Amino acid sequence: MRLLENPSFSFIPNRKIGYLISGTLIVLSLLSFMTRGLEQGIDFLGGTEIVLENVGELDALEVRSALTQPLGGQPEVKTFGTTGLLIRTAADRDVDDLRRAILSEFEASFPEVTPQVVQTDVVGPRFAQDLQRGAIYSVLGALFVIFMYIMLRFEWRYGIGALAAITHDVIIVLGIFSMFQDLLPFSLQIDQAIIAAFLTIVGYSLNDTVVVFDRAREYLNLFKTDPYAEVMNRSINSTLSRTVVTSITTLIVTSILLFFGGDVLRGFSFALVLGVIIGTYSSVFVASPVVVELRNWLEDKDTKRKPARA
Amino acid sequence: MKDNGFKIALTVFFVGLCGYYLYPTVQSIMLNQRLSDMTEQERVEYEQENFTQIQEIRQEALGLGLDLLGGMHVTLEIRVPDLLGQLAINQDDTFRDVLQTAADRALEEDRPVVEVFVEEFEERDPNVRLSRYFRNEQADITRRSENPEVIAYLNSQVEEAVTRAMEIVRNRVDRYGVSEPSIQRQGDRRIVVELPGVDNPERVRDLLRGTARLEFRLMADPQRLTEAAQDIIDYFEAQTAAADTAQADTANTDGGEAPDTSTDDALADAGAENNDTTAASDTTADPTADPLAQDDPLAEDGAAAENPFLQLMQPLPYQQQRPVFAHVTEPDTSAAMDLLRQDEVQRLMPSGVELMFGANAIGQTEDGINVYELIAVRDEVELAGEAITDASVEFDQFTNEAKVLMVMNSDGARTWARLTGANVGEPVAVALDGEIYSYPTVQQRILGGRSEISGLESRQEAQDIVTVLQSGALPAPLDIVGDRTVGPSLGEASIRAGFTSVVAGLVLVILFMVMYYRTGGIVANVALLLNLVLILGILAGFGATLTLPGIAGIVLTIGMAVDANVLIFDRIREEQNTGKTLKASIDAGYDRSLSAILDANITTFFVGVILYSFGVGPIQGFAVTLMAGILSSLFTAIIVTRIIFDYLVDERSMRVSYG
Repeated sequence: MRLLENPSFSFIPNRKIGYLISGTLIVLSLLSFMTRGLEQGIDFLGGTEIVLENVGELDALEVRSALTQPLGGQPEVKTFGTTGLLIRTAADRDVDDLRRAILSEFEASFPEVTPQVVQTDVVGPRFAQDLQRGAIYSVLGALFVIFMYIMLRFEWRYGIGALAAITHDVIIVLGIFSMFQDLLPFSLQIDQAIIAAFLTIVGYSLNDTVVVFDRAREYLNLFKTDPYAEVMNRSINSTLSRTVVTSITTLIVTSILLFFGGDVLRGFSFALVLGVIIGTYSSVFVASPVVVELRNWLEDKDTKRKPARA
Repeated sequence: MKDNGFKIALTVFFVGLCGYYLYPTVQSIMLNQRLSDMTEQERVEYEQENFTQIQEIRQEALGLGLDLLGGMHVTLEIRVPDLLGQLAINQDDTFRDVLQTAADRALEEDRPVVEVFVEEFEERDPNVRLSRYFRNEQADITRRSENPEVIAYLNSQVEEAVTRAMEIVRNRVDRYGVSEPSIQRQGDRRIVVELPGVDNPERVRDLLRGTARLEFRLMADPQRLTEAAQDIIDYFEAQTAAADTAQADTANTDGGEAPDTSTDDALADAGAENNDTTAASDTTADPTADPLAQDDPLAEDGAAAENPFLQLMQPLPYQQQRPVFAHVTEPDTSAAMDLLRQDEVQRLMPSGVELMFGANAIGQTEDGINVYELIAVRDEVELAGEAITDASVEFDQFTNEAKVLMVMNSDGARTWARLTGANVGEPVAVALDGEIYSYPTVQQRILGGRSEISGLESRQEAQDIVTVLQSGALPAPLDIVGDRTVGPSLGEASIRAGFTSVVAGLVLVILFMVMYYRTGGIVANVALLLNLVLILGILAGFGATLTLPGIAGIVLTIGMAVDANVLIFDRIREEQNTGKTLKASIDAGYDRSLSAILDANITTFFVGVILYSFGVGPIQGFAVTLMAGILSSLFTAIIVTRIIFDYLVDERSMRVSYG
């Protein structure tokens, strides 16, 4: 079987279309950050999460209003799996107190169910601050190390191209998380696992980008007289079949994680699925065009400067 | 081919190594299978017979993380400011203020408390001498010590405190009896405790946190307590009256009367009081709902519903010489303490008196809500837990109740004899970590330094107190800053989900590869399966545990591991299209795709390293599998597949198809 045998799409000549799509998505994402914000998990906010199993078909809203008084504030209540509920509260109380308060309220208000606590998760405010800091450091650190490596192995223009693609991917995936946070049947909270997913996306997107860059490095030596944009376009086309095949295998496994990986991993695998799609797109439509753009811009400057010197 | 000899040897070596590391895991799986087939009795016998062997296998096998096995993952943090407070020999207002500010700032800026503390001090007074506050003959810190010496001393004390706290925590966990606990230090002031398969998380939390601060204290004068309670009632009534003149009349008529209930039905009154609290939220107090409440003049006309003090607690009158200030129901305990901490209320309390809750409920209201005593003790500590040399669980010969028997050192015994001798007929409170366990009346002077804690709920509680006392007092309180507890059922569901994902991912990717690359795909699949074995072998070899994010990492690796082969095969196809022979195409394909494969994987590997160094717990599990996956997939995709192709093409002269 062969997909995309000897393709010759005009990616670079039509890069404006890519800019339009990416620009729109980024603007939408930024708008969503401003208006809807991002829902942070207790990893970064601090608080207590208690997962109850065996609650049958209770309405999350009803449970929330029943628990508001005993918990001294409105908790968040979400469905967890088929017969579970996830209760999240910012109440600064001992987790054992909270658990007892919740269970006795269930006994009083919903005697028809016998809930069991299957997971409790407490993150103190100080710990949350540290986790937040760790997350920020790891994302910034990853971006820096990647930029340095690409710069050493290729040249600085490629480093910027790769960085642009990665930033593009992270903003858009975060934007989708922001836009869809209440619309999907599973939680899209930003927690430690999501940060790990983002770094994986970064790794994947980079993988794709580096393959194209590597081919460009080879072709530039091979076709020295051809215009730069054309060489870049040829590189994208030659590696296109590989790009698509790897995307397919990776999409297969990430979709499997999304559907069969269980409730705990739902948000994480959703981020990965989005990341694979957007990362593949960005290595073709963002990373390489940015390199071409930088090259053109510098050449323009050079040609402008040369007559002046002469 | 001569260089293939080395490659084959390398492959055999790695596979053998992984097999060696994975062997105990396979044994462990088979063992569990066999154990689950046996009856309960057979199993116990078998486990006893082969105890050491089973232990060894389980130790060596690739462990499952707490998120899969169920258990607790607790992060403890030592309170460094408290420790500094304890180390200081004299504290003035400046010291306390600086310490408080430093504690807040250290948090804000993520810096060591000692560093910020010193900085804060020097900012206020550049000539400050820390030796004014800290002195220690053993550490040679005297009045004349320079600041740097004192700082070094403080840092070493913090360091030592964390180490000691870890030992104490380990000691307690061992006594509790958890199989394979893990206690690790994290950063400069945190301890991470991992306890698989804990059945009673609440008990463990108390055990970990217990500072074992044991104190013997004298008690407040009951008569003055009753007077104080009356003053407080009057104070709040005056407040209510000022706030609401319409209802002030009824409040005032009753305000003159002392709450007139006997201690005997104090319990029932506590129930009545609770009834009022709930009623108060509806603003219609209906005392007739509770027949017992009718004796209570305060509840009768709903005055209690308006007095915030009476809403939260039921003060007890002066009778029977009991130093109990009030009864409080469980949900109100923290609110009651807050109310009593108000400055105006503090002023009305007798001086030198501190209020503490009883450790265990003295009974329940009709609705089954626990009622606690609020007990008044003097604020000086007469004798502290340092004097305890041994503790054990005993049973009362009459009631058969569990109690803790303690033996003191000679200094402690002397103080105890003096204390009991001077207070015959008076109660003495036994407080542990700020809660009062009992306040027995001294019958006679006690010689020999023996004492006991009674009034315990269960044998288990007695055992836990003994554990905490014997393991020693923590140098400073530990806070639980993070706590993830997963029940075994959720863990099982996660294992199933993880296993399904691995198998489904593997099957689909294998099918796709065969369809797309034909013979090449089959070879890539062999590499993929080998890759999986290598990843597990690497994990087992490094003693890592398999967590759910780790499994996710493996599933992801399955998808991404074939990438290297995809790159190579696509390149081979391209080379074939230029008209090269099969063998030349294979050579060129491997050579020319190598730089792309390496560059792409090294960058991803860096991401894994960063994830590992900044992430905590489960994230590290993911990072480890990601890194292991990259290393092994590079090896299998580049070296192992090449060996196979060389064999097929050179030796067997096969026409390998790349689809």
